[in-house]
Amino acid sequence: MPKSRNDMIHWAVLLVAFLVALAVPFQFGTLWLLGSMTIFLLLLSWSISWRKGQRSGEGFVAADRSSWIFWVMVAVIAVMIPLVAGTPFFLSVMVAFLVYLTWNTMWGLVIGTAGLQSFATVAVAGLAAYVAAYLSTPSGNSALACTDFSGRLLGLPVVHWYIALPIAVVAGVVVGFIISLPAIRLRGIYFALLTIGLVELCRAYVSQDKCNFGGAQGLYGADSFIPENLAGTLTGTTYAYIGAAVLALIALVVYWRVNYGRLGLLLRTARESEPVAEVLGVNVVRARLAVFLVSSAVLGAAGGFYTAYYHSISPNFFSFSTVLFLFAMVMIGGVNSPRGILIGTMLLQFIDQRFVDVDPPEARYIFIGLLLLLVTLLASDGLVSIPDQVLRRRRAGKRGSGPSSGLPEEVGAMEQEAHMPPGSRPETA
Amino acid sequence: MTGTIVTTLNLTAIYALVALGISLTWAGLGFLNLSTGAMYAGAGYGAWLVSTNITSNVVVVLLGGIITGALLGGIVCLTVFLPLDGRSNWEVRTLTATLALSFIGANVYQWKFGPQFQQFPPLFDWLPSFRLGEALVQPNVTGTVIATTVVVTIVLAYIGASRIGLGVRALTQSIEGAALVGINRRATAFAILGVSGAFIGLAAVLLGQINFVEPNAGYGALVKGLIVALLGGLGSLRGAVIAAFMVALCEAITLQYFGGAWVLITLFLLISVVLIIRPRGIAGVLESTRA
Amino acid sequence: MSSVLEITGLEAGYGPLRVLHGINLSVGEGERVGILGLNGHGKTTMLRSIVNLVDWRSGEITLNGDSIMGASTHELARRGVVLMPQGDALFPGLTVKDNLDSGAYPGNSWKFRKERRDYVCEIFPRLGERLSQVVGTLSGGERRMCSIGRGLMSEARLYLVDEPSLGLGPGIAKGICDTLFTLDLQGGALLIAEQNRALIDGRIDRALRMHGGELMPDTGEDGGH
Repeated sequence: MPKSRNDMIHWAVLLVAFLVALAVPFQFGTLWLLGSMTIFLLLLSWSISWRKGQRSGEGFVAADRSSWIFWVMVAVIAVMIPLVAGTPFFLSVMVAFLVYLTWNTMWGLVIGTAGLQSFATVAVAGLAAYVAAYLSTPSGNSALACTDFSGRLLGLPVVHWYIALPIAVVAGVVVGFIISLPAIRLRGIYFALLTIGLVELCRAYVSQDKCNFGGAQGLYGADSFIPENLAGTLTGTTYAYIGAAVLALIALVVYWRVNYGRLGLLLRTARESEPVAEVLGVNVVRARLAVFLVSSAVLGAAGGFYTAYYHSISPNFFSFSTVLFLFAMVMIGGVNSPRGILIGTMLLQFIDQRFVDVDPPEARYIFIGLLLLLVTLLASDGLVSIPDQVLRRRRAGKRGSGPSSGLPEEVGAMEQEAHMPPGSRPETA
Repeated sequence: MTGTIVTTLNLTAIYALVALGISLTWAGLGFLNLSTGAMYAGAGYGAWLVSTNITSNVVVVLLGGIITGALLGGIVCLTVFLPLDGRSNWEVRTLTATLALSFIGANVYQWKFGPQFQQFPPLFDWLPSFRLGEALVQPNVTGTVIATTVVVTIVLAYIGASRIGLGVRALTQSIEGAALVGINRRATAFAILGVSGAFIGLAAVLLGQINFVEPNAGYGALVKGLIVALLGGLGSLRGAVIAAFMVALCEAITLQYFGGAWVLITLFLLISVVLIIRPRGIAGVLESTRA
Repeated sequence: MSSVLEITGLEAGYGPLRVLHGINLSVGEGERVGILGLNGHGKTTMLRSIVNLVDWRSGEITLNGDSIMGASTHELARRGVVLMPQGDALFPGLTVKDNLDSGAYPGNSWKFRKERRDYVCEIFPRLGERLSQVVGTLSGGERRMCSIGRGLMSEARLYLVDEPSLGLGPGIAKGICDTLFTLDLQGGALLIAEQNRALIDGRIDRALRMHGGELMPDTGEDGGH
């Protein structure tokens, strides 16, 4: 709450920024609202970090609990969007954004909190989506090569979305469980590679299984929660928006409960040093299993929702480009911060959608790639970490060449060498 | 049966090249170069441009691929390794940065060359085909095996005997030791990434004889290369070659008896089995029971 | 007599820990200086600070009058500052021959590596017998010989030796020290950190003691054995 003149100026500036962000779409088009709100939220996040860093004197943002103002603004924006959206197109962009946000938040839990470098998120969500599509696509509508049920795995009946969705959740958990098993045994980078291979495997498999999964064209005609007559209309899309918002909210709550709760503490301890965690009595295996199962459940729900909203699913879901795009969303904002994940997802969704007509079509992806590269080179943990970095450097600079003033190159590299897994050095090159 | 052997030989050579590139970078510099895909596709395009605009002489085209690959390796050194070396959170950041390069690369290639598949003129047609048992050994297989053996032997011999090679090998063992004897790690990084790029570039041209050159060709090569490098034990060059053979054999057998769609599945099973037995790969040393 | 090494007001440490407190030291041409003292008091840190292998340092260090505070470790190796560290810092997967040759890595030394290697093998015949053996399989004493030998492969201006006798039997330790003290410095200097007074007594020009991160004259008291 405003304590001084500086504070009041600070809040006034932010208020003005918010109003400017609101006014932007009137000049440039509704879609720009997404872009302007992203910038606003980024500035808000930076100001929160900056002030917190100055106060704590350490420059490190430990927990986001005191950044309630950020989430209040997010809620305000979330409620505002369907009210100002003029067209179903803009709302559908936001629906997609919310689905991505759900996936990315859960991904952030695995990569960030648990420190497990995994690309399996796409596999879990995609397989759950495929299961939902398989269950809710009547064969008559779809691109299935088999014209009757005899070719279908298990010959299951077609069901409505409200049954397919919960089953998708279960499917997600099952897949997540299977993926978590090697995680127990494999060291970081090996597990990451395995998950990359896994996604590719999914793509290859569903592409060739025409009978059950529609082959290269995928499945379409899945049952949706939007009634036929409302498909493509503003009202129908608003239902979807509300559904997606609920999903994203669930994801954020799950993230919050895990990350700032006991499980998150256990996971972070294990991330820093497994042997130490074991000595402290942390059951690392169980903790990691738990985070996989929990995140997979939410991923499964989002996958089921995806199918129900888009009426379809295709092998493109598993393409490397999708993986990289989602990965960029998570990393640009900052994988260790829910604010970062939200901002990153918003920013990239905006760039992807707003500049979709730019010629050449690859230009916006090249831009996104360059942005990701730049942010990675300059910031230690995404865009939201910049204030902390600046504050840290300032403090080091003040102390001169004393403790923590930056390491000479060889010492820094030797520290990296110390962290490399043992046995990774060859006998003779 | 011998047809399988022929396919295996061909693929072994190519996968070994990509995996050697990945393993060398890991051993020498300590990071996983996930822009291997962009280097692969880019070198393919480089060689293709040479073959369509300059000459289709096999040596020149191969060199075109090798040199393009080496140059792209240098770019990776400049844009990723040098800026991030010694900085905080470096593992995740090098992973992300190289992935970003992959993303940029694939899109740049698509922009500049279009999504269509490009084909190389046959480079090895002047070699004779001959029979091995009941299978026909195509010229490109012979060419691949010869080219790979020649290049890898020369490069590894050079690394074994030369001053820079000693610097590279020393770096894979001890960063402190290397610094103490005057080895400039950052300068040597260019050599390491250059050689890595050269191997990857050669693989691109050789595999391009069968598959085509296209913007997303890199991803497939990256996944396969990673699988082989991981299976062999990251950082072990010997392991990479052995693993290349195993992966190639698995793929060849699957192609023969189950069809192309099953390749990744059997490969996956193979990796799972090997990694359960040896979590650090074939040539990796198991230092602790906790992987 | 001009100085090879001049240290003024050196403070250094790791992370938040300050190990060295205002070190002043001047080593002249041809001088052999011994640094005595118990473990943990800063001998190793001082030697590492000279070649920029510590987290942070402040003060001034000059080599033949030129400041070397801005130089990186590998640059210093090329300029003739050779550290033979505790722990040897050898290349375990490479052969003895390769390890030795790496000591001659700087451009002008590389040409003469065969001669230098022969010279080192004369001094340490055991190395000569094991040239193609992988260093990781050598015994502790052989590894130490290899590390010292590597340091002798280039003509250095300043030899920095960190506890050469550590972990070795008395026979080998004496042999190694004999080698170091009979080195022809050719106008350079030798700085040796050693806990075992007996090994360096009478063979050095000057002895100092490192205690609590501060350098003081050696009083002859038995601070370490």
